[in-house]
Amino acid sequence: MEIVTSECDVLVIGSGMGGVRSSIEAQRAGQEVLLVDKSILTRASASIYAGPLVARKPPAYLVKKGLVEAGMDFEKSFDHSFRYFVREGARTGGSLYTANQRVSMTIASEMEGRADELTDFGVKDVFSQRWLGPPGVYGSRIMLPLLAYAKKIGVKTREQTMITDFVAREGSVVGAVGFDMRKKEIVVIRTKSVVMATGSHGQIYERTYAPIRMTGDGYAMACRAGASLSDMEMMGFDNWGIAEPGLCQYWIPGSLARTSGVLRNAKGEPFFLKYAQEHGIVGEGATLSLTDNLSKRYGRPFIELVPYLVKASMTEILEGGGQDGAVFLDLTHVPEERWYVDSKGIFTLNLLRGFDLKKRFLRVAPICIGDFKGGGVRIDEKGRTDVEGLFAAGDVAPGSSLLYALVTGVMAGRSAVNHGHSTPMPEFGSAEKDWIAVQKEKLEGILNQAPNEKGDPGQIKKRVKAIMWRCGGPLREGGGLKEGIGALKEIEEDCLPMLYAAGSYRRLREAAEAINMVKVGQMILPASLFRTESRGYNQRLDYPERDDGRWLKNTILRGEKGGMRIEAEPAEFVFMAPEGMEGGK
Amino acid sequence: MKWTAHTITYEYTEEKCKCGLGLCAEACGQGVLEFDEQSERMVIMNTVQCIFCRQCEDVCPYKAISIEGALTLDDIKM
Repeated sequence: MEIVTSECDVLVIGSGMGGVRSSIEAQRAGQEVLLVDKSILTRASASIYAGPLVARKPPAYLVKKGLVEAGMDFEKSFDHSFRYFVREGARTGGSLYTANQRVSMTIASEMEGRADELTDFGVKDVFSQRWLGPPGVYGSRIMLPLLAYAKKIGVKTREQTMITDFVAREGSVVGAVGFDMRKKEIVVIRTKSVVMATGSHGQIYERTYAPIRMTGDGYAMACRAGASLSDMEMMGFDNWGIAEPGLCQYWIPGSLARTSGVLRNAKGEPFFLKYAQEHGIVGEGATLSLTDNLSKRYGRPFIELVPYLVKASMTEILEGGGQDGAVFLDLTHVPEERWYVDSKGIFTLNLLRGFDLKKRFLRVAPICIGDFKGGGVRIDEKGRTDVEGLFAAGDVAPGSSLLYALVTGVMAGRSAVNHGHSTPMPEFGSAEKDWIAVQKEKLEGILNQAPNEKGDPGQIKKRVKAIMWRCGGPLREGGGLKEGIGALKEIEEDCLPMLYAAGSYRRLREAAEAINMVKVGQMILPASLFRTESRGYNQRLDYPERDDGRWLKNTILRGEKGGMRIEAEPAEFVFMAPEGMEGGK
Repeated sequence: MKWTAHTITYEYTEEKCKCGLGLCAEACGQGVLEFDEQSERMVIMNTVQCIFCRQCEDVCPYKAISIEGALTLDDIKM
């Protein structure tokens, strides 16, 4: 295996929204940017599948029909958006919104401008894809023109090249190591700044709709490089995963038809109605009518209901009220034509392949999603991680959504430029060269390892996914979390040293992903165990209540030699405290 | 090779499959398609998981794969 060293001012890893947008930002500032992706450009990212950028301007025909779902209204003002994030962040555990309100304020204030600016990069029709984007790949109308623009202004790209670790010198990131699947070579890149835009980790769960390459590589790499991560226990789940045998195990997107659905248990009872009333979830002006859409029914935007829906469904399933690990989604009363008013509706009909929604209830169960998560590599309001020279954008940072990736992409890109201006191109000394040699040896070891019983990367990934779903899924408890930690340790010690690629660079990518997935699991489970309360996506059966007195805090993970350290940091309310949660400090 | 699932028809022409990079498999977020390194061609694994995003079709420079019959934006009734 050859080693090929190249150099650039800014290395951007990942070509979803965060990566492409930060590439543009850095290239426009005169930096030489190299954008790499472990797959092909932008197509393997979650951004291509992403729905609403800003649910700002619903198409007139939907307004006229009275079908537009209430949601976040960014039109009102950024102050409204910010308040929304603070309130919901504290409730659901989105660390960005509780831990660092400076970051939150920066993002809220830039959202609208950054979205408008996309038209300058050749993106047409920025706001309508929520309803009228191409089915399944709603984000493609944004991502494909944006990528074309990046290339046009001179961003260099390298596909099917996986970065596996960062080269560090005296605590700063000065390069990266990985391998190129096409050229079949080890790659070493010297650079002044690195922007990680490696996406989320949704593939770590058995039930997931995240694209297959979302294996949390950036979390693992950042941790190994000494960066801190926050709130890794806050990883998002949604309620509408298809669990019907023989059908695609995917997520039913939030079409206008879906929001009219009613969740029922095996006896046909609408269990969430009862749950919402018992748990004080019902908002002002709720109609509680099962024929109204979710927002009207419960008097609040449906996005706020998601963690409760997930918990209620899981509880129903665990207590025997479901069937075959699922509950039922009743859409029998939804007029057929409503499925045809938006692209998410027709996308769902494609997924269901003729399943008769008029006559049968559909089995659904919670599923891991990339959206609504709170955890990630900690960044400040300039997109800086706490390792010098390392920046993060998009889902790898503590937040998610196409809009979040867009704004953080700009932040990280700009900071990478500033860092580059004050930093000479690094030279590798003997310590760095030795370290690179060790990495090369490791990668070659896996590449040349022959097939064996324990080291099949695909099988290891499957095992991790099963463990994570069972022990660190939507409902958790101390015993299960400890069991999961033990099971991952066993894989780390028994299987990872046996990983094999048998000469295949594609399998080497699988192997590198498997290593990263184990690492990410080893963050999520201990962080969840540490947070002895239930908040948002960390739902603990053994600590069922939210405990603002003790836990209006962020969990912070730091990689250390031989493991990780977890600690709690009080949420810092610089601008405002969330309603009813004034005791943060 | 041609087959139908519900109203959706997949067509794959092996002779046209010659990018040698597995672009379609890379674009498939659902793991429906895989690239076979021996034959340097695409292998279809599990069409049940296909979500009809049609990225495979879109990225193939040789039009070796096509999907027909899925609902599209044209089916939206305003």
